[in-house]
Amino acid sequence: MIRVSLNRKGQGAVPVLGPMELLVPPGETAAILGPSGVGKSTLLRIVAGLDSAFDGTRQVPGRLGVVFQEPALLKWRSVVKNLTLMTGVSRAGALDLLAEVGLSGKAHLFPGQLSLGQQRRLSIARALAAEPQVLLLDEPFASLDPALVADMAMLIRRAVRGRGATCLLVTHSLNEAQMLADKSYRLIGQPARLVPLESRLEPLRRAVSGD
Amino acid sequence: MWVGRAASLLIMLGAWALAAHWVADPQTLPTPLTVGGIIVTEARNGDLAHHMIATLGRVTAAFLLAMSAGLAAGLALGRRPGLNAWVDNLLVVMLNLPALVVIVLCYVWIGLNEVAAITAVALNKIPMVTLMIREGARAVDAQLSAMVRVYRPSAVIVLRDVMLPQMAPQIAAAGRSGLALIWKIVLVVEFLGRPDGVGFQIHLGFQLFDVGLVLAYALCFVVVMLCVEGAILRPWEARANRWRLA
Repeated sequence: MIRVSLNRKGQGAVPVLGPMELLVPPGETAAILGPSGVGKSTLLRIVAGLDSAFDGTRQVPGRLGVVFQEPALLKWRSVVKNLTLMTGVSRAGALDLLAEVGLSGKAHLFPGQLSLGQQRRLSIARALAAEPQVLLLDEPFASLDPALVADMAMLIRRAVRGRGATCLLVTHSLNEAQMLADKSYRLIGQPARLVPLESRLEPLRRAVSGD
Repeated sequence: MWVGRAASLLIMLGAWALAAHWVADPQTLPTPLTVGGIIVTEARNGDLAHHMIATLGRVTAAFLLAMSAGLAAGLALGRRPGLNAWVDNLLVVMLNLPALVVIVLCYVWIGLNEVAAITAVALNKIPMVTLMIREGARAVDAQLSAMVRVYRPSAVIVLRDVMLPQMAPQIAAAGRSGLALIWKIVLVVEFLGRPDGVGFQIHLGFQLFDVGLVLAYALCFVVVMLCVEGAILRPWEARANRWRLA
């Protein structure tokens, strides 16, 4: 479960995030959409516990896995050691995870020898290696081509569902949110507010029901 | 490339021989052959090995002490701006304190012994290592720091696998410049107050006005330090940078 109750978050005197309630029930995936600079990553950092300078409360119990916007890998350690060193997973467990994200046979390489898509897969494998109860994804598909995005979205969806993890995705793409999330929100305004995003079927439902 | 290095060495030896021939005073500038003869004599009677080992021991001890203390201090100052604000002025003072002052003070305060000698050398180098490591610690990748805060690996892993590899260029530069500076200060320390070592022999050569002895020991130690750089520092640097070339 993720529960964040925010009164205000600012950068110095400038308010970035206004009052908002974010609740993601256990086992569900929520997406937060919004343009660049609106405060999506700031909100994710608060959820991740990386930013404690805010007015409000945060409840994110259990183990955490984060897929950062940049893969944030140890370029000087091999692919498999990026998993074992950071999460404590066994070498055998790490090799299984690499196979799960499609990086079989790459364990001995350095991250710099992988493509960007493969580096992002490795970042996902690291997050999964932490056996997370809460998985946070910060623009995990940035700079990837559409075919690869669909492929990786399926990979994440399968991994999250298989583990029963609660997941929060931050993205600027409605398409990505629809591929992964059970519920989506939009961050809008200055300071930003969190507004639920109605599904594509919602206008149709309202027309039929006469609301 | 080795042909170029050998050729430059031969040119330097030739220039030295020509200068010695032109000066025509072996007491002021002996020929390379004369200095070579002194090296052979000193090696045969065991003096060369004895004094070289004494100096090398001091260089190693002072180097390890300076690098460890400088690394710890640099990391602490680079990661804690509040602490840096307190210590920055002291660092500037230490950086500008002449080596000779530190050596004399250590001999006066601690005594004419090995502890004073090694402390004096290390104290001369620690501020420079601290400064270089501090800049490296400041440039640590913020994303990696955030990642470490999320996954919380052990402190040993954070230091060995996250922090130090990021600072490898600064550590290598501090190590290389440290070695070059430390052995020169060790010679001064030995010159002023030790009963053995290359610096002591240079002092002896100075008192006897024996330029050949001075050149013989200085040359031998330069060769040893070049070997240390080639056999230890460069292979370590190549290993640390293996991932960049992969």
